[in-house]
Amino acid sequence: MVAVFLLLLTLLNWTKYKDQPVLEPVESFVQGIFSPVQNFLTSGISEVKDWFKFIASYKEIISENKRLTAEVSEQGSLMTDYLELKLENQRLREMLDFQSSSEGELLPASVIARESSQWFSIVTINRGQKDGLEAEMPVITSAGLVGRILDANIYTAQVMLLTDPLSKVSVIIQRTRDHGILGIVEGSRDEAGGMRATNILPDSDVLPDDAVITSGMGGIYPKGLIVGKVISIEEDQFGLLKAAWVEPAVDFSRLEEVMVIIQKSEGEEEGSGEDDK
Amino acid sequence: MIFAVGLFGLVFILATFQGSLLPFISPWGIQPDLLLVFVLAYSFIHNERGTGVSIGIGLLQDILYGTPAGLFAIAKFASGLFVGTISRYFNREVLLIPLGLCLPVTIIHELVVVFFRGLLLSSNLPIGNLLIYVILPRALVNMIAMAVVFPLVMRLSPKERLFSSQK
Repeated sequence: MVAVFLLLLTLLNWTKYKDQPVLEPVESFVQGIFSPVQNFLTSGISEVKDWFKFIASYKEIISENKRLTAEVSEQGSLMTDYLELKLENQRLREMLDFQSSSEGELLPASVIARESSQWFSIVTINRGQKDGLEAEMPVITSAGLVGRILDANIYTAQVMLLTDPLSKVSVIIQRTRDHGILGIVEGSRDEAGGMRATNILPDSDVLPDDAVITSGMGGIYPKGLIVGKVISIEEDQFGLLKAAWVEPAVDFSRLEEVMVIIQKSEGEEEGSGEDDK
Repeated sequence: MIFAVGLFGLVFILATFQGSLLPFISPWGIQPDLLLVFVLAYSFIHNERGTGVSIGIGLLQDILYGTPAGLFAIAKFASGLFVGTISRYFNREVLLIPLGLCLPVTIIHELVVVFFRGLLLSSNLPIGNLLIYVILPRALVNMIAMAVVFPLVMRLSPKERLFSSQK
């Protein structure tokens, strides 16, 4: 019994957070068995949920449809302006020899399983190495940043959410351009879900409702992805820097569809991985 | 053989439900640890034989849900060992006993996870709050799950094993 315990302890210490490729064949085998059923089950759940939502809000859907039809015609002219500006921006960037910060293609994926113990914030998605996924790729939704790929097997990948205690993101307050490091503060879930941006300079005039975006400095997340908004500001424990409680843009409890940013390896920034984890 | 296939099928269903069904339907974010419930039921019926199965189930959980490999294996091992050691002193056909064991076993399991997680992440969680808001509610829902899982494991177990090594 003691030997078994020591063996498990060694395994735990050796693998820590899944950075041992030796385990990959076992993981791929197990995930290969489970993922089709998980996929089937979660897609079934969302279909049932959608069906109930449809029944419950039929009248709302009709009026929303009318409103959206009117909005679409308005958006048409805005889209023309947007495309014009985008092309102009692209030309100017080329002239200045800049690289686009949103380089990479988006791969849609569905969440097929969740780590259920509440001690970690990890979800499993139905895309893996066969779709070109690798560890450290950023994962987003239309609302904002979700997290990064922790580990990719052949058929599935595990995504570490921003709410995991090991997750750290280098961020900027969009309005003031002040930098900070965003992470979860455990045991403070009542305060904005426990997300706190630290290391903000003391002279920063960061205010509640300011948007928080990725800075692109960590090397994992591209610049400009929306992370959340500031709820409150306070001084850090020594009074030398400011810290801001941040409400995440993404509702992590209702995560169903996500997108993985498949970045080109040539475009990766140097000195990466220091701020983003 | 039928016994092994049946139990594997049950573990497959429980593991799938735990990750892909319960998180999407559980009210107040509290959900049972179906794999722990299985470990408890299996170790209660099969004594020390359950310890090996407990490690396998824990490793399966680590692999399936991306947690550090060995973490839940250690926690399930401790739970299986505890139940397997004391179960020979009880009547194994009384559902109330495994139901009652859900409370101490859930506490042991979660405290082991919190301890090793704390070592890995260098974080300290307030144990008192965890007990009240996370561990005890989970023990309660585990009891409800046990009422379903225990009869299934009992039915899938060979009769000759049920009455062997019982004191």
